[in-house]
Amino acid sequence: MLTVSQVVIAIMILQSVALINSSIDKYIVEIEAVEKIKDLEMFSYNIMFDLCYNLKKWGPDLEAGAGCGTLDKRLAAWMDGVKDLLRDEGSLELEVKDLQVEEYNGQPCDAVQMAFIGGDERCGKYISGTLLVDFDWLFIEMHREFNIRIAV
Amino acid sequence: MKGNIPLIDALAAFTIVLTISGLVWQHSYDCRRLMRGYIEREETRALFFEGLFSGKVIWSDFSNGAPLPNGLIVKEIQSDGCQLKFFLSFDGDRKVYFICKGG
Repeated sequence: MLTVSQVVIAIMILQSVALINSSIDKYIVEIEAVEKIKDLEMFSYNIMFDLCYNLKKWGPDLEAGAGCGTLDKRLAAWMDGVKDLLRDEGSLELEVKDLQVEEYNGQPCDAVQMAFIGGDERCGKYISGTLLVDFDWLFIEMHREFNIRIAV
Repeated sequence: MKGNIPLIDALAAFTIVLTISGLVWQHSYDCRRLMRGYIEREETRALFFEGLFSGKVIWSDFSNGAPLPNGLIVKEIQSDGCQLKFFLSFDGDRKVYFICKGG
């Protein structure tokens, strides 16, 4: 039979071991949370580049005189598609604000966005606006805002 | 006699519990492998961002299977070491690519 002091010591030891393991688990959770934040950040950029890619593809239709209504419908469909694609990554909200399509007259473009879509200065339309990306996953909330400035 | 030296018994219990706990933990978390995975992913991500934000990556690099800058390659199927996802969508057509270090 164990004595009372042996039982007390055994409980203390078990508690110490449990504490060590839980602190290691805590570090693993922290690392995984940081990893998740980096993933969401990358997805945010991915969404921004994907929007630029889509705007570039819609460019010829815009030049053919497509109205804002058509563009809004396409944007809504694009947002639904992206949300569906990333449904396993957490809750995602997308919004495109102040989207404007103008004649291109040398307005400043975002060099990185232009490089990604393979655009050049001979383009006919200038598209500008703001993309808002909101991710929500467990205790992580991420809000990103991107200015879109491309010529298509 | 057994049980008459509580401290020694407790020490033995401690050793056994620690060993079993350590073995269980090592089995469930291969820490070195886990860390190697995180580091590999971070390196790939840094190289990809560097290429992307220096304007060297264009959308067609993904679909035509061309190697990306900084020794990165794109695969359409996920494999070991290729966990970095990048997607392109257009009018309902969605494609997910996996980026990994080449060589």
